[in-house]
Amino acid sequence: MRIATKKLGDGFAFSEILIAILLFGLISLYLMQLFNFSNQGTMLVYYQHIAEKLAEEPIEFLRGTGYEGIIACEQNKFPEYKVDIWHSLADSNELTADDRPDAVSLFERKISLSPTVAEDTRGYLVRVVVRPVSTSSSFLQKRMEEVTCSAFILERP
Amino acid sequence: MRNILKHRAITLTELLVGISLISLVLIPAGSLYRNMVRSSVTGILINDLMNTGKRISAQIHDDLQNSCLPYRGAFQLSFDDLLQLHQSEDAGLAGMEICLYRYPRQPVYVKESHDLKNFNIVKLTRVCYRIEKSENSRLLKLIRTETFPGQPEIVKVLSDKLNFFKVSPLRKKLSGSKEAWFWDVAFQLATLPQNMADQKDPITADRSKGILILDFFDLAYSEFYNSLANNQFSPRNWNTGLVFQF
Repeated sequence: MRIATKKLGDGFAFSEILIAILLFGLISLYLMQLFNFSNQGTMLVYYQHIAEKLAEEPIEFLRGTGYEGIIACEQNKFPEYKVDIWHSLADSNELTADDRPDAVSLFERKISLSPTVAEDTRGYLVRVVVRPVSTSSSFLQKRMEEVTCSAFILERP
Repeated sequence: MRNILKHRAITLTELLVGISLISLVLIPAGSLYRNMVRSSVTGILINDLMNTGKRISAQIHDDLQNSCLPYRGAFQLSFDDLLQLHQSEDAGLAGMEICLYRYPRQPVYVKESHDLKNFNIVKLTRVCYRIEKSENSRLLKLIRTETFPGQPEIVKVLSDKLNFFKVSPLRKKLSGSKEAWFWDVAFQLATLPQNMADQKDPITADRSKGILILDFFDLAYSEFYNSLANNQFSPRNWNTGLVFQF
């Protein structure tokens, strides 16, 4: 068997340099992806915040309108806050049309209302789920989970 | 003589080839390092803006939700009375001030020497949000001042990276003559490179130039206004008998 040996003082072979550059390129590519991943992670925190706000908004709205408002919402009288249906937030919202960032259009929302009665008190369990729309970027769909907010709103005299 | 030939110095060609090879490795490495640093700085800036934005949003929400009006006897209440807006049309956002009264944060304890006549009267806190120009930057400062009767004024700079700020009233009609009122809060925080301090073009987000803009929004309502609007004939109580006095 013949073993290739290298004498001290011999230079690098061309193939060795090519392999070294290839390895370096692969490692660089991996590092670039790592930083891209980290960048996306930072933006994900921002999108998560937007999704949380979009989930809190109908709850805040229904708290503000009171029990009467919830009943009107259950009858789908507020086009901005449709019940039991996934609706894209890219559609113009009459209530807050101009003051929302473009990123809002990346999400869709579903509001569920469950009536509850405890002794003499009536109320509703409001559940809002926000998720990225299917047309949003793949990174958002892969890495972002649904955001859910729930609240009890009671009928108060 | 043989020794000298054996240990000869490197030739210019070898040196040039060596430098070229090192450059081949160092140029992409340098570019990679620069991107890594830029990416890391961007991440830190976004996190910083996020934290500041969330803090401001929570603070404004709390103030608006607890907003109310000094009350002594019967009066006609309008939603617009809750916020006082001062703005000069020429100056744009800079110089704008939004003021309101809010329920105090501190609990109010009943003292033995308490004036029974005013037992149901709560002293209010006066809160103002003021927008001012920043030094050496196109971005603005958002300053919150809080005044509670008998105590020194608390002044806090919430951010010096404000790009846009708006609080607008929203009305939603309910059944019959009933309606609900809200505030829609929208603001932007941004970071700009130093060389943009003198430019006057509108700011648009561009990461490659180091311009980052984050939008924040919120919906809030006044519990005081809602309780009065929905129960107009109820007698005044601890929550609705209010006063502000220096």
